[in-house]
Amino acid sequence: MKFRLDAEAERFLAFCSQLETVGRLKGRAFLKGKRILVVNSYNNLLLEKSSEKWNFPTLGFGLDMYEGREFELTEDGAVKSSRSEGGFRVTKVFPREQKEAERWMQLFDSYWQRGRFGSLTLSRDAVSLLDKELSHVEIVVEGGKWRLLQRDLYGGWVRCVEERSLLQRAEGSVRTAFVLRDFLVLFEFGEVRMEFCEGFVKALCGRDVRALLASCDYEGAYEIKVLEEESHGRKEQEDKSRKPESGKATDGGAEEVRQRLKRLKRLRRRVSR
Amino acid sequence: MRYEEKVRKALRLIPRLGVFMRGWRFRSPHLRKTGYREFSFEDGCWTDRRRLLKKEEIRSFVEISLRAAYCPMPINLDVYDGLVCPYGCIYCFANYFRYSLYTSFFDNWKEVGIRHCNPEFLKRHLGRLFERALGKDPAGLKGLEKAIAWRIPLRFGIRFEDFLGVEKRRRVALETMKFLNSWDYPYMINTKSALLGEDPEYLRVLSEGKAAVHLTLITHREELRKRLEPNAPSVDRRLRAARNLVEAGVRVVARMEPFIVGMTDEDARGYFSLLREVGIKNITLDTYSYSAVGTQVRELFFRKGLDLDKIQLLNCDSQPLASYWLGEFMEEARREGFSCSTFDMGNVPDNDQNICCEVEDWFTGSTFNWGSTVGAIRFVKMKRGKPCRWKDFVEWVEEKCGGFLTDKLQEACKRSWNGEDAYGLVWAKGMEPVGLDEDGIVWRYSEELSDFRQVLVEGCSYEV
Repeated sequence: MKFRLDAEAERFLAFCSQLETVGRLKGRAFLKGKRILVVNSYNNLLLEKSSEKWNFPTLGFGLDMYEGREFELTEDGAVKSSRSEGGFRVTKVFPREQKEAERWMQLFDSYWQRGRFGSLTLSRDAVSLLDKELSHVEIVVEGGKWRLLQRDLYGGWVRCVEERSLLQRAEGSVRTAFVLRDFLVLFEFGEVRMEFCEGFVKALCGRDVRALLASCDYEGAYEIKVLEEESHGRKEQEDKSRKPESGKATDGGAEEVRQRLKRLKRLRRRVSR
Repeated sequence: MRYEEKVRKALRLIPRLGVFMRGWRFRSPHLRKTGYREFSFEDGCWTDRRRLLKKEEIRSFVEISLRAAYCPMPINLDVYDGLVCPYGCIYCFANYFRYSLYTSFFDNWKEVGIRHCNPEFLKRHLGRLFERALGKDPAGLKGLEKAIAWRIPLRFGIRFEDFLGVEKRRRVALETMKFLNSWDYPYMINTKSALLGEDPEYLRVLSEGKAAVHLTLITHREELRKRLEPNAPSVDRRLRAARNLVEAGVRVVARMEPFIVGMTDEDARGYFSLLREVGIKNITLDTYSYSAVGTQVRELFFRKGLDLDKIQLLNCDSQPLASYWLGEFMEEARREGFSCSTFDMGNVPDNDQNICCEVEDWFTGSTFNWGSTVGAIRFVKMKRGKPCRWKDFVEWVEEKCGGFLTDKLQEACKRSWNGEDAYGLVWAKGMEPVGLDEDGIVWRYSEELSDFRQVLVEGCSYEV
C-alpha cells in the first residue's frame, strides 16, 4: 500500500525530524487515521497534530528514519519512506510499529481528558529569556502572577523570569518543574497555552499542535533561595598552629580577615600621625 | 654545579604567587538535584529517578591500566574504594576524580564511606581468571588473560589506599593476599600505610608470598609531611614499618611520587640516610603527573600556606625541566648507593632496572609488558647506537614475551614510538631520530647526543 503525505503533514514531520537532527528532540512518530503523534525517547513529551484531511494507516517510526513524504507499506510488515531529488531517489526501510502507535494514541487521549488546576499562556519572548545552559525550569503561578525559575546547582544561584505587566494570562496555583530541553520544544510551534494537571501539563502549541509534557520535582525547587555553601568533600584539617583563644568563637577565615583589617587601620593611623 | 644549585637558579624563573586571603571556601563543582522524581505517562504515577551507589560493597577493580601502552606492569587490583581517601594528601588528584564521578552520577554520594569488595566474589573472579590463564600459552590469549599468563604482578593501591584502618577490621586485602599466595601469584602493593609492617600477620603473609611493597615517602621532614599528607602515618611510623618489612625479607621500594623539585642537598642527604638506616636499597620516582594548575589541588596548597607553583608547576606532566632535575636527583641517589628508576620518560634510559618499579630482579618468574613505551626505550638503549625500526621492536617484543597485550595497545605504543602523544620516545634522553621508514621514525640511542633538557636548563639558568 502506498500513500503520500500532504504538505501540512510533511511540514510537521520534517520539522520534528529537523529538531532531532539538531539534538533538541529525539523520538518516534506515530501515524493513525487523522493524527500524527510524536513521542520523545524519554517518553515524557508527546506532540500531536491532527487534520480532517488525513487518513493514515497505523504505523510508527523513529524520527531519524523519516526520509520523505512518500510511504509504502510492504507485505512483510516493513515501511518504506522515500523522496526524489533531481534524477535520484532515496528510500529508507524500517519496521512498522503498529502496536506502539495504537498504545501511545490511547495514552495521549486518556491524559488529555484529565482535569486541570491552573493555566498559563506564555509567549516565545518570555521563554527566550531562559538560560539554555541549565537543565530544568520551574514554573510558579500564584494569584494571577507567574514566574519561571532556574537554578544552577554548581554556582548556587537562582534565575527568575517574571512579567513586569500582567500581559500573560495565568490562573490557579501551580508549582511544577520541567526538563528545559523538552519544555522548549513546545515553543517551537509558537505561543503556548498550558493547562496544569497532576503530574503533567497539557499544552496547545501555536495554532494546532497539542502536547503533553511530564512534570518533574526535586528538593529545593520553587523558592528563590540559594543553597547552603558546600565543602569540597574533604574533611577540613584542624590548623593547630592557629587555635582560637579560649571562649572566642571563630567563623572560618572571616575573623582572621577582620583582625588583619584592624591591624592595617591602626598602622595607617600611626603613619598618618 | 650540584642539584640544589641548579634548582635554585631555575626556580627564580617562577614568580612567587601571593594571595590576599587564605581559607576561602569554594562551592563544590558537582552536585545533583536531590529527591528527583518525574511523572511517567506509561505508569501513570511519579517515579523516583534516584541513582544509588552501592554503599557496602564494590565489585573488584581487576583491570588493565589505562597507561598499559607505557607501563611494563599494568594490572591493577583495588579492594577498597570511597568518596574521599581519609589520608587527605593535598597533592592527590584521584580524590577529585572520584568526587567528581560520584557526585555527578549518584544521589547517595554523601552517604558513601569506605567501600570494599566482597572477598568471596573477588576470589571466585580471580580464581576463574587464573584457571583460564595460568600455565596456558600466552600466544593464544589476549588482554587480562594474557597478562595473567605472563604472571605480571598485580598492583594494589592504584586507585585507593588499600591498607587504611578499616582494613585492620575487615581484612579484605589480607584475604586477597593470602589467596594470591595460594596461587603463588606475584603482587606489589603501593601504600602509605604502616599497617603492613606493624601487624605480624601481614608481615607473615607478605614474606610467604611473592610480594613487594612500594612505600610512598615523598619527604623525610615530618613538618612538611604533616602539611602535604595530613592524616597519613608519620615518617617515623612508615620507616619503622619499612624496617620490619625488610627484616622479614620483603622487597621495599621507597616511592617518591610526586617528586618535589625544591628539595635541597641537605634534604636529599637526610632522606637517603633514613632509607639506608632501615635497609631500603631501591627508590622509584616520578614527576607530578597531573596539571598543577587544577584549581582544586592548587587551593589546598594555598590553604596550607604552600606555593604550589613553586613546588609543582615546573614539575607536572613530565615537563623537560622537571625531568632534568629528577635525573640529577637520581644521580645523587646513585652516588649514595641506591638503585633507582623512574616512569618519567626523560630518564628511563638511565634507569638502573628495565622495570621502572625497581622490581625486575625481585619478580624473577614474571614476564613483563615489554610492548610498552618503557620497553621500547630500554630496547633502543640496549641496541647501543644501532638504528632501531618499529619492526625490530615488534620482533623483540614477540621474542621476549610473545607479543603485545592487545592490538589496541600495540597501536598506542606505535603512536608513542612516533612521537604522537605526550609520553613518547621523543622525551627520552639520548634518543635520536635517524631516519624514517614505512612505520615511522627510526631511533638510535646515543650517549654523546646533547641532552635537550640540559640545554633548556642551561638556557634558563641565567644570573639575576
